[in-house]
Amino acid sequence: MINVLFFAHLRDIAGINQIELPLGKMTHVRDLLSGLLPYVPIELIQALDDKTAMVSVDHKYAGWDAPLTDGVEVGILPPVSGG
Amino acid sequence: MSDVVICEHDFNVGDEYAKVCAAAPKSGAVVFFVGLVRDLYDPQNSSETIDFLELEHYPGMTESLCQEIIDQARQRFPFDFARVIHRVGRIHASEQIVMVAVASRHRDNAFQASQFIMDYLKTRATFWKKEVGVKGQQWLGQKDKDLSATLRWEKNSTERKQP
Repeated sequence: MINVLFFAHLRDIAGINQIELPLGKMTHVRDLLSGLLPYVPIELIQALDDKTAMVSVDHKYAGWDAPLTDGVEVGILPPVSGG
Repeated sequence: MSDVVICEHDFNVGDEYAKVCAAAPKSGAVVFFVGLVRDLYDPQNSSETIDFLELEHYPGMTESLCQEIIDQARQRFPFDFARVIHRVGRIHASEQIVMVAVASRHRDNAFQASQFIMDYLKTRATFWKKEVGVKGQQWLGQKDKDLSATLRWEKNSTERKQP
């Protein structure tokens, strides 16, 4: 299983704070596009696809090619606006 | 040494100054930056006021990123001590939201490191602001001028590496 957390306006779009997903055939971050599709609105997938969303794996920013392994925590992150 | 504090409550700059001085007794310079919540909706040409900001962050990742940013600043501008406080939760207009304090032997590194830390906090650290007021509520996006401020450090870094 992987635990996926949604933040800020992407959580509003997803309609959920987090979801546990079976790893299934997902091997890399890019596979989240198809892995999340049954569970969240298409707008969230589009945000990931057009790179207006960032992804973290176990608290580190991760690119499309980063591996997904069983037990990791994935963050779906809008562009940050702190400070 | 450095400290990172993510908290809901306000902080007292006088108390913080005393902590920084105590942690860096050999420093000859202490630079403080304190950010306050502006009362107008973003963009700044808006004339409507906000009631408060809601600050959200990613617990665990935020602390790691802040520490990483401080470590990068130290490598470029060696200093004795840094302390970062970032508030989360509900913060009203004109309240303090963020503090970066750096103590170093001489002033130049303290100035530069504090600016470096602040610029990267704005563009790397996992905080998100939502404005709430008469006009409703809106999540804030990343600003081009903040990205430009960060890119300036990367450009400087590239130039420094050239012979």
